[in-house]
Amino acid sequence: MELSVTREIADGARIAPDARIGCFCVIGPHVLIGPGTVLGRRVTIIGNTHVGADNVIDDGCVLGAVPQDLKFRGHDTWLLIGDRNRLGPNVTAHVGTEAGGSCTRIGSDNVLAVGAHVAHDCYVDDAAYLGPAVLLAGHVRVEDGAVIEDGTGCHHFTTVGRFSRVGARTPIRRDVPPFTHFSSLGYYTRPPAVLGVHEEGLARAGLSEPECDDLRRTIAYLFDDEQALAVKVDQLLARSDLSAASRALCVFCRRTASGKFGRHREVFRGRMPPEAAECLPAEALVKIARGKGANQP
Amino acid sequence: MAEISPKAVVVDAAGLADDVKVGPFSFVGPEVAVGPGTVIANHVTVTARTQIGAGCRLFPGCVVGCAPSGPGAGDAACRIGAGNVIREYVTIEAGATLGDSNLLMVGCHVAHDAVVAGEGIFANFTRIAHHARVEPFVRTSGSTAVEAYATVGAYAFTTGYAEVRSDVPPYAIVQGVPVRVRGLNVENLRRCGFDAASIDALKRAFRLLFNGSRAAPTAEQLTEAEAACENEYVRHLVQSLRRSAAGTGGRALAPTTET
Repeated sequence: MELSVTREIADGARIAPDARIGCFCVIGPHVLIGPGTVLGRRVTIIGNTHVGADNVIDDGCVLGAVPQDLKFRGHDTWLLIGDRNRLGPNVTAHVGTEAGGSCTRIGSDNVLAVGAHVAHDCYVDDAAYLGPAVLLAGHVRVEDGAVIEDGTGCHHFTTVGRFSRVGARTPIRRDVPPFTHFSSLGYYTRPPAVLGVHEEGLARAGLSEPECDDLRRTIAYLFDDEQALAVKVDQLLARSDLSAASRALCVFCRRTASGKFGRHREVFRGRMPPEAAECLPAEALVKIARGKGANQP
Repeated sequence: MAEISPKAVVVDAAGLADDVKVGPFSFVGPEVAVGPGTVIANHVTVTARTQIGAGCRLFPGCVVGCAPSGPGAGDAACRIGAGNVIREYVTIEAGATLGDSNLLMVGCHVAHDAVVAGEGIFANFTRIAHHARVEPFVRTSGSTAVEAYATVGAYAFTTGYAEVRSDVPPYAIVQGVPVRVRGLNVENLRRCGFDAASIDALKRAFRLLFNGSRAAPTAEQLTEAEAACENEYVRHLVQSLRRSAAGTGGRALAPTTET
């Protein structure tokens, strides 16, 4: 690892020997960077941020700063980034808040384009794409393989389903069902809605042709007209010949309905979501259980 | 003595109060004054004739006092009050004025000659154009754009992607491109300690004045609302609306020569 006056690496930072740190980078004392990860220039990684292996983090990214949440009181919280992600220039991601589960997570194989923002307590799963200047508000979940195009903003506590696609500059105020193409129809004349099937998502998910056909029928049946969605979901779930993917879609819709304002994750308001306990490192869980911590912002 | 990283460039440390911190790779220009307790993180640029108050926090990558992106301000001073939180990649042009205790989230932009009163919360990528005015206790959602010479009234809330072309009435929730009034910002008023009677009076006034369209209330509607809802906040609302109606394009601050 090259070290020189053109970097500011705090004592205590754990950096793999073959990680590359560009010039003018600033690394805080509680940061962990895995093998093969490459940091561009002017990257700032602070807070309790754990970056996995083989990530490419482009110039000017700021990872692990304190949340923009007024309820945050400086507790120890984490930002966990998996492996093989590509973060474009000026991406910002914040650590979690204690009330929201203490953890923000970016999984593996994701692409975050220039200026994307991942706020506190968000969970971006694997192989998702966040376009330029995509804004995730706090507590958002982006599931596997979702594609969010540029400039889109997600409201707090929304979920973007597996292999769905969200059009550019779409205000996401409710959950986006998996495998759908979700977008605005005419700017602000109608609220954004499901426009159809995200075919590329079906292909990427590796579904069989009969399963794809079943899913296309299910999406058309449920979302061509969203009237009585809950009844239609119940009808479908009662059928025995429903494919696994369609069943997952129906379960997603049912979960959405169990939340508030069309957002399933509203049920996690003020408490730890199940994902946090799954992904937080053991040392973090111990600290949270002890109820102590003094995160140096 | 200010705590300045050896990797920072501070042209004249005399302008910095004793307990100011400056992180590595930051630049603080020669005509900058920074109040006590302010923390300037890494990769921050503070330049031009900029005054920053006490207890502010400047996050990595923000630029305060950058040259105006249009014609205008010249070497105007940039004044930032106390207790402001300026997050990553916020840009504030020379000539802008910020009051106290604002939170500007990632990527916000405040242009020259804009005035932000104070106690505001501005979500990511809120852009406040030149000569715009933002009154106290305003909350904006992501990607809000406030156009030149527009005023955002006190306690107002703008939803995501809102485009403010004419004045936003105080106490209102506005939405759309361009914005229209959606209702009274009851939650913010409650949080800011308004009494129930005032909130009720404002609700009645809003029902008389706004019908969900973009049309500004007429002079008769304003008189009617003022008479029907005897309340100081309603009077403030009506006066603001009258000022806006008198200005060019519904903007009280717009110069009369502008088309």
